[in-house]
Amino acid sequence: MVEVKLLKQSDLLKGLDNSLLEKIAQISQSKVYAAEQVLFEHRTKIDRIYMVLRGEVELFLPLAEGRQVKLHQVQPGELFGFSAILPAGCYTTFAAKALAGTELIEISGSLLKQLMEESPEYGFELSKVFLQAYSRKKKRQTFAFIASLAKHPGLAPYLR
Amino acid sequence: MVSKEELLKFDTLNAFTSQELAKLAAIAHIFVYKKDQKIFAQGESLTNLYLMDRGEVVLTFELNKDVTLIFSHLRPGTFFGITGLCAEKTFQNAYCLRPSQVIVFPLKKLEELFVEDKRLGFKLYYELLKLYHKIAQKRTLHTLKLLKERKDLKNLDFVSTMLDFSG
Repeated sequence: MVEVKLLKQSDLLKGLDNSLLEKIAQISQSKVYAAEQVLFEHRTKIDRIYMVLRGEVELFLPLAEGRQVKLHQVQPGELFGFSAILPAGCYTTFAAKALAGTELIEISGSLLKQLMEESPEYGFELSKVFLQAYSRKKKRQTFAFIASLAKHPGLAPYLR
Repeated sequence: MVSKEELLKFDTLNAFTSQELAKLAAIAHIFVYKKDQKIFAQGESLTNLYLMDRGEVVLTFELNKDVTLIFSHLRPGTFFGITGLCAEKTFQNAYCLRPSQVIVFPLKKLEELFVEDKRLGFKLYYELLKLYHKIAQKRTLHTLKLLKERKDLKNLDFVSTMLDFSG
């Protein structure tokens, strides 16, 4: 269990009802990761939504021949790993590793999903917030991609 | 209003009970669009959620007056115009390549429905979350395919912009 005030460090969660945050706090725990420690691999089914409390997490995509591409550096207050509440067949679209001195809050995906199903009010409130986060990211991603087309015009067919 | 049976045919609505489908059907309308007709345009604040029924609708982005990017061809049963539910302006156009039929849910009525039936709201939002995640998965696979096919691409910065989708 973690303190509610820690969850409120997230822009995404801070607007939620206190009673809901208390429920989320009960199914969460904090954990410290060493530098370079892998949280999960690409294309795996995970059972944790992660929130960075301290330090940073790198989201990356491992490629063939030992190459990898960095996708995003997650900062304190940000959440990732929403696929944890989605059904089988929804896997991670990246791998994640901790950078130096990283403390995370880990929210149980299965228990959160259970809470959302048992209490429709909470389910509605949370799924709405998560959808807004997805929507903002999709928009940001699309505009970034459009900008990158200027450098790599041959990529257009891969957008589909 | 559409019939409940009209909604039953879509796999994307499998999770909904018969009663819930009846509630959704009661506020929905069927719209028929002509070839080359725009359903909505980038920059608009949407007032409806859309469900692709039949025909051929694409989501596009006009880069400039000469170049239009096609993001996706919508399959029957695919929701689109989701940004309206997130109170954001859309950044895409929905455009009919052929005469098309779309089921339209007015956002105002959906919101009223969610006030009285939160479970229905949760279920719909959850389906949309799944849809967004599937798009992210598809893009990741496409990008990996691209990197396999185009070994000439040394600078991988662009990949992060394509996949910065921390779901």
